[in-house]
Amino acid sequence: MESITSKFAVFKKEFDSPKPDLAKCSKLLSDMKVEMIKHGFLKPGNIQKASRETLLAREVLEYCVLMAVKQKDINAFEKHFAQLKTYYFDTVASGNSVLPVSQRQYTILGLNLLRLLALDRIAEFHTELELIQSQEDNVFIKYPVQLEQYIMEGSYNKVFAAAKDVPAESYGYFVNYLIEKRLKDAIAESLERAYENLSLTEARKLLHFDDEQSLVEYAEQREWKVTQGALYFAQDEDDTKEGIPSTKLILQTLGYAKELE
Amino acid sequence: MSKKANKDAMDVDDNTNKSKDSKSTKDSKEKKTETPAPPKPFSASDIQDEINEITKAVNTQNTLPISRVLRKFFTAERRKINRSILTTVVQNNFPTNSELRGQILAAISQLPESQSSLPQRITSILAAGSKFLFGDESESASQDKMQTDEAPAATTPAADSTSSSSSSAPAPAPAPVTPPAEILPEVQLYLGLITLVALIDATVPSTEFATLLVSTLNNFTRRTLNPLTAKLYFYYSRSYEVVGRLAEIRSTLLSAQRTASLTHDEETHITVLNLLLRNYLHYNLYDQADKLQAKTTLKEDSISSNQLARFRYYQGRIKGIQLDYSGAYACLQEALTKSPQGLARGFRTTVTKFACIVQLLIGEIPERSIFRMRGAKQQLTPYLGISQAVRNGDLTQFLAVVKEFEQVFRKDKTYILIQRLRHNVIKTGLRKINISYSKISLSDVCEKLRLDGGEVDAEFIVAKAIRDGVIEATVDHEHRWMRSKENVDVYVTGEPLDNFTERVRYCLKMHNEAVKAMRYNPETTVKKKNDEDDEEREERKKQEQEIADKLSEVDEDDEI
Repeated sequence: MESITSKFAVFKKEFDSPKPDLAKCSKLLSDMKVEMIKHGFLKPGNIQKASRETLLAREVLEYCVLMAVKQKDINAFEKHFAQLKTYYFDTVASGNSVLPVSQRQYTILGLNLLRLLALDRIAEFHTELELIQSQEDNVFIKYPVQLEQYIMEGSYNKVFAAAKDVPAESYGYFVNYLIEKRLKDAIAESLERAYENLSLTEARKLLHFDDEQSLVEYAEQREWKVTQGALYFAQDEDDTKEGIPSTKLILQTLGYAKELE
Repeated sequence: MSKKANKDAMDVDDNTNKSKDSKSTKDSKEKKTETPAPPKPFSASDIQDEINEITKAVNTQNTLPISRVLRKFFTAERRKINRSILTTVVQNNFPTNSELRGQILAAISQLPESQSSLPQRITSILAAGSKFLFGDESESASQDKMQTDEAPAATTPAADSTSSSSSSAPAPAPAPVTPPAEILPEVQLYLGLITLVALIDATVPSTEFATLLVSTLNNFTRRTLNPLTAKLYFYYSRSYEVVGRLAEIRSTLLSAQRTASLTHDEETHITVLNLLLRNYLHYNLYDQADKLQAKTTLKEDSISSNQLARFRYYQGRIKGIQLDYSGAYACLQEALTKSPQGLARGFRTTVTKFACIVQLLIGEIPERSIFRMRGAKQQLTPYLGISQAVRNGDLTQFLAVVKEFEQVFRKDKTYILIQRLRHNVIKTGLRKINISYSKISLSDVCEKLRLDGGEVDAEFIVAKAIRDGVIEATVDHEHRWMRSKENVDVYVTGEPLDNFTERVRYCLKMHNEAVKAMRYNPETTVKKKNDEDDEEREERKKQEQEIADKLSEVDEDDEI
């Protein structure tokens, strides 16, 4: 028990310093986790009682989560968060939390929401949101919720503006991920359907690319025609003359005949 | 009613000789037609009759009479129960050395003394304004009656007058009967159940008593206990819910569900399943609720439509949270059709609320007639406001309505869903603009929709709407306008055919379900069999044999 606390103190000092040595931190973390398992801290079922071990276990897990963000390791984040979730939600018996509320709780919850948003798992996003329902005014939670709203509406501009304004620096990673992977694709798709052509400068502004070269590469990736400083999007023809869907009709009529018998 | 009884009597006459038995049945039938005139005051003897019926049913290993007894209790007699009746019945039926007897008597003593407070109690429950989903089960669809605390508002005055008149005149105490040496478990649990129901109705905290009953229940494994099991678990959960301790009983309910599915006790299975879903949804554990309902398989033919209605409602709510709006809408509509029409107002109001919001989220506007549901008009007013705002596509109106009724939405747990409607408001607004203008500048769009992001935002929003297929248009960037495409004639495409097929399929499904649900009226068939005596049966058989012989002779003649 004492060894873990001391290791934890060392770890915290290293982690909070301006330029943490990530390798050392991760090694310390894994050592601590092994020791905790040996002492049976992380066993489910004992967390109803408040105790030093539970508190310590929770703190270690929180730091694991934050560590995963720093290392940009999404799978580790998900694993640790799943373990951490029980500490947050299941220790709340009949409305009062058995453990004192952790300072980092809402930061981490918000981070998880942001992760789900970035990975486009909107159904899980909303399910998680239901669990945190009572704390909507918390700035950490409000941020991903608003982001989700902006994305759904399509006011991507607001997303870009909000990206400059993260409430915690750990959010920055996920927000960038979100922008790179999802937003650009979403905007590009909308542009394809909505415009017939677009000048390069305008497109660059709309897609928020830094320079023309990356825009051209992106355009090629999406198979847009680039000519004379303008982008031409392929328009799909709507075919009103599809031909009679004969198989479908036959199946339907047979179904009717069977039912009527 | 009297005509039918007479006709039955005459049938009996025609089919048999004028034996003494038929005469006596005819007499008793005529006597029965006279009794409905004065309503008998409710007393312990009524419950005693029911207990005798249960005993008979157990001896013949038949569960139907037990369900009938339960149904009768919950629809007719529940409000008339009072302390003295219960005490008498328990004392007369339990052997004196039974442990359960003492516990039930102790529980009964917690009931309030005076009976005249019963109507006041009911009105106080109504006034508390909470919505219960009380269910009173029945197996045949013909007699479904889901009682909520709002629905019997019309019936309580009637019940009040009869109960107060019947109980204010003290019923003559029946002669003390020596309790029998032993008592059937069914009867024990039945008495325990009605005590529990009386306690809950009197808002007496009854969690320990309920737990006790459930543990008693688990000692027996008899098939005749099945209808009682379902009811008991329902009220067990209810007693915990009233004091807000639902989380404690989750493991009990889970094991009950396992047992029920293993013993193929469909009624208990679906009841407990509904209780579990209700439990999870109460604590917003949508994830677990979803997994539970996805993994369980139900034989949908053998469960009462009341429970099925509840099950669909919970399914609809879960799907709504997970963004499966069309699936949610289908479930909620089915819940509305399966629930009894005209009664169960509280349940139907709640389902209508969710259905309205989900319909808005799909993109359709709900019809005005659903807001005019009898007795629910006041509760549905906020939702009418929301629908109007969405229909107009006016964002400021929408935000104003949301702010005004925020507390109501939070209480109904629809607040989160309504937040998602913001996008729909914009969509509808855009659609209206698209239809009315062939070309409109982006700044005008921004102004009409009252977007606060400025023109650049409007451009993005329009582009996304086009991508989603909400509107058919193109954006011209240099001139900064939006030009609508011409409308395509819908009948040229295959859409009408798909729509038509959908509707036909739905009608066929309804038809098949109705045919499957048809059942002979159990009372007339049972009566016919019971009325026959041995003599009569032999007569009948002889006659049938003669007819069969004659027919075979005719056949032989034909062949020649």
